[in-house]
Amino acid sequence: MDQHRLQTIESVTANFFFWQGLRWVPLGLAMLVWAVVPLGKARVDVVMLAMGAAMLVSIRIGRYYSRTYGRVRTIAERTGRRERWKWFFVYPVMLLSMVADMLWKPPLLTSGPVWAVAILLYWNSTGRGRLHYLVIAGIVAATVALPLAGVPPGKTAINLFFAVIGAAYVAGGLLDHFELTRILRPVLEDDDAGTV
Amino acid sequence: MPAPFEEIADLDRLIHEPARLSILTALSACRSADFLFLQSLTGLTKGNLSAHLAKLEQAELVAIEKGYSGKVPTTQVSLTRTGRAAIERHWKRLEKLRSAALEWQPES
Repeated sequence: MDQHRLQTIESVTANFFFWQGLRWVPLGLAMLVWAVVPLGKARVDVVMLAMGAAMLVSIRIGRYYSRTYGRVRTIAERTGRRERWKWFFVYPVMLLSMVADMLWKPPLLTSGPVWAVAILLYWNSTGRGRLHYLVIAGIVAATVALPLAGVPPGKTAINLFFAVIGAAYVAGGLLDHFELTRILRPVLEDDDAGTV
Repeated sequence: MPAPFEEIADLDRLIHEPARLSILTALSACRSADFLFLQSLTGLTKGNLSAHLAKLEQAELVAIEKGYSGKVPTTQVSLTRTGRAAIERHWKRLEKLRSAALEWQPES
């Protein structure tokens, strides 16, 4: 048994929830809906509906993973630090960057590099492996130049940025799923009773 | 001082067997995992996985808890304190052996 395989086993087990890529695809599609639906009163309703549907579908997908690949209970002490950083630092900074881009319309889209760093932190803290996140982070970072490419800063730039993020969620989720199914083999039986 | 290759013989075979090492490595990364997860991770048949788990349970390296999730029977497996210490010790030993093998020079 080579060390790389054992490291992969450790990474997948410790971060099983995050490697269940199909869970994130509906959320990415909902973001794309947000980016595509024109501004107006109906937009809020459509986006809320899309987000609600995405959450429901995501829960169903979670059940599919449990039924097909089983369940893992994580060690809370190991993920506590990551959760604290995520909620009290990374998410607020991501939100602030978007607010800054919307209100002050700077000549460069600050959300691009900020969200790219957040993606790299996510990749690093959830067992690395999936190299597609490096490419995705690069693409998201490149959106910094959207205003220079003629996209009007403010709402238009943010809409396009959201479309990129939505597409990133979809692509990242699908690739996570392929990586997971390369590592785990589905068990085609009704239960996990075992015979221990 | 023995060559690193001679020390390999001293490794705990109960732990070092590839399937059991995979199971213990997975369990060391979580609080517990169910039978289905371990089966999909190792690719073992139900019977084979059961046999390996029974050996590990007999050695008091893992604890097995049976229950129900709704109407579906489930089997939760976790490392015991002894098991967690044993796998950590095993990893350290493997790491030491690896370093020793890299530095080792055959006597001329």
